Amino acid sequence: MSSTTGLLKQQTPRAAPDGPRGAGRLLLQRYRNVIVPVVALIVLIAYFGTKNSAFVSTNSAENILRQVSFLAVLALAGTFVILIGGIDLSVAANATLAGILVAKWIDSMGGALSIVLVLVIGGLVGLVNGVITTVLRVPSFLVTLGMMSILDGVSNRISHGGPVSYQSTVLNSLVNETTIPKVPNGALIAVALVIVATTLAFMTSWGRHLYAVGGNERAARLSGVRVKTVKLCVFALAGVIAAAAGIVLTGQASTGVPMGADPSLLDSIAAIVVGGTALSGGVGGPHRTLLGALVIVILTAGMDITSVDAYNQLVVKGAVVILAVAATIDRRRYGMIK
Amino acid sequence: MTTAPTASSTTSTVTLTGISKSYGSVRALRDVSLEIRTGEVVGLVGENGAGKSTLIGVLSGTVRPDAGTMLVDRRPAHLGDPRRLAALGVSVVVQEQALVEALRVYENVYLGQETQVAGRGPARSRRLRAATEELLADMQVADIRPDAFVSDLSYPQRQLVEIAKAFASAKLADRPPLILLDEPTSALSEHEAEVLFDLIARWQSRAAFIYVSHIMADVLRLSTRLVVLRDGQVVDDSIRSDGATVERLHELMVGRERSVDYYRESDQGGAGDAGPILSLTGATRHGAFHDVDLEIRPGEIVGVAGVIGSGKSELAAAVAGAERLDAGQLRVGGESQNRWTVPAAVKHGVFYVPPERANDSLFANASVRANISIGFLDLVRSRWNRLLNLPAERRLSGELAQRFKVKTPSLGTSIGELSGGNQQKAVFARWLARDCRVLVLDDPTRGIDVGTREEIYDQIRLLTASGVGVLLCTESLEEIIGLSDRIVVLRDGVVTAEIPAPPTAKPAEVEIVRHMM
Repeated sequence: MSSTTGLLKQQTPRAAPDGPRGAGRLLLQRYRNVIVPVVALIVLIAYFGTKNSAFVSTNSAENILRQVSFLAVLALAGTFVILIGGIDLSVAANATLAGILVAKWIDSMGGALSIVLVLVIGGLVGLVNGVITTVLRVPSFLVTLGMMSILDGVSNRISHGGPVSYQSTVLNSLVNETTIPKVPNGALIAVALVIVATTLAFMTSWGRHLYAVGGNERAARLSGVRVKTVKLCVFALAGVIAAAAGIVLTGQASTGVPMGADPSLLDSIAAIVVGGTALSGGVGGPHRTLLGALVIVILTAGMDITSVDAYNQLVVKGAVVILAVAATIDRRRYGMIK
Repeated sequence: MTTAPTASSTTSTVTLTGISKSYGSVRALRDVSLEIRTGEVVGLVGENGAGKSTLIGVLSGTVRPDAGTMLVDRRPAHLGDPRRLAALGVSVVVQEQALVEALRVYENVYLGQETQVAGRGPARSRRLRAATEELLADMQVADIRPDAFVSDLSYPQRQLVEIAKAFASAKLADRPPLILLDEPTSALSEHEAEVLFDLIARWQSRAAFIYVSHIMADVLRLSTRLVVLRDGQVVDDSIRSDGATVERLHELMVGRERSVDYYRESDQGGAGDAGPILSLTGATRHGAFHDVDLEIRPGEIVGVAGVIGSGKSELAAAVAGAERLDAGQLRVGGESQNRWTVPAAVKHGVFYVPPERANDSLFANASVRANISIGFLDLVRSRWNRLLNLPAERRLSGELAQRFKVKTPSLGTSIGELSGGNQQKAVFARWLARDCRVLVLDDPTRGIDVGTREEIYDQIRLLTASGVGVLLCTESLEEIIGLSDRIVVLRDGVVTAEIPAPPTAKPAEVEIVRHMM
């Protein structure tokens, strides 16, 4: 070794320096995806608050919490799939089906059994998405687009296109009643799920593998990640969480609503990307989705309270999604932007 | 640089002067000057990585050089602009095919030049088809219909369409064309290759050719003059093909003195007496390699040499579990392995450093820490709740980064911001928290600066000293000879030689090249 150290010493100073170039800008760049939604949140609250003081009342806060708890759970379902670089368009339809099924079964089967059964069915639907995507190698966008239509058909057949009512009070106490004053239990469920999901994402090897697959699938495979297994689990988990969102919705509405969750699909994707999870995969996380859901719900509630026309609301939300995607996707990952 | 053969001053010329091109710290071309006249067939030869493809890229406009000029008939040409160079008559057939599969043959042949060839109007495609038919007839190609879809053609047929395309655009230029052929026969049968050679002979008086091939006999037969590239520099640009021999060319291509110290040959321990850790018997993967027997013993570096396409890369991938064997057996520590996948390989201590960092091994958006810890997450997992011990993960990846001298502002820095050398060191570091038995390295120093290379060589020597076996497959012969204890040479997927390379008696590069080509 001794004969070689001299050579090494000569080489070291020539190596390219990795010095900082504008530390402040670097910091801003690295945390841009977290800073943007937080700033957006503060600006939105301040803006709508000055426009209409009713916006910062406890009533309004409770309303916002209810809406966030549903949207955050639904968006959580989609987050994992987007993290691996795919997309699940069937989460909302899956939630609708779960909402209808739980309303139909809860009186005859009882709360616990019907909820577990509905979650399992949601997971199976997700698993089918996963199998078609990984085994038959059909892009997840198309698989889940088709699945959305299938699920809508099935749930409308089951509900005959009308609301499904139930007598049980289990869902009401689970979702609407409060353990902490002014905070509906549904919000606690949402926060608990986000915490569990965030722990899964950052503190388990499965979670890390998720980021690896989303970041560079080939490199993940060559580093020993079981890519197919990871993907199957992701789709199944998305199905289970989507079903949970459907149960929350049915609890909030006190009835199984046909097409109940479907209109929230775009909102849920908006929540994910506004939170800073990139559609190109590998970047972001469940904790950010909670932030994104807050931004979307507050934007909607604020526009309601300042009486922005419903049609204009659609325009604003669409623009927000496009802007958020433009800000977060990694263009190096797409050979061509199609 | 002076050019040898005399030619009348009226002939058309393409002149390159002082062309240089670097990729990061790698200098692909250094001050290359070259003159090509109509009527010449210039054979361009050199080792893998000598700069042949980069030079072809500069001439065709797909590579923009950092310095230098190009003159076409004494007028400056636009470097780095494929369309303008094509208009000056430069056309190219490259190894990677550039046809649009969803279009028909005649649409491909005249792609981008439709109006020039066939004008406008509804009958345009009929005229294009007729022009293609004529061209293919001239090329004596009978089995390709002009209106067939390219996606329906076989690989050799597509290669012929590529060649037709090059000749078609050459015909359109208002000056004698320069036709660049980069390994044009790699997919062709003997007969088809003969047709191409015929075509070159018939066009020779009207065009200039640059011919790149690793089949030396073809190069010698076709060329009027030979240019040898080595390490991005022109070694000799005036060898007359009638006086040259294959041996002389090999010497020129290889040429330089090897530094003993550079590859740490004093640290080369060689294999111990222990039996092989990993062995292949009759290993076959269709279309890549055939009936390969290979043994890797503890402490030994086994080099696999071969030209691009010889199957060496696939062999390395198969040993690492990244590709399946179609036949044959793989044994680790005497145990036969049936389902040999990357996770199985990792479990047995067989680790892979794949060739193309950006595609194969790097998570560019993830942190340095995450890029290292992906290799050992299961080791820092709590036994009772299966959660990762994050402080342990940080500590271990920090230690590995330090051991491999990964220069980074912090472990949280995204790895895409580091230099290629530091990225590669992190990829190595990823595996070394685990018990390593065999390291499979495919081109481990590609695109990496000299200083970092030496650090990597140091690490490889340290690992072998601790009993790790290494399978090394690289484009650089010098590296393979310098590092290996034993060199296995592949040609067309078959082992053609096994050459010992102890520190005291390293084989010459020529000796290995002879078995490669």
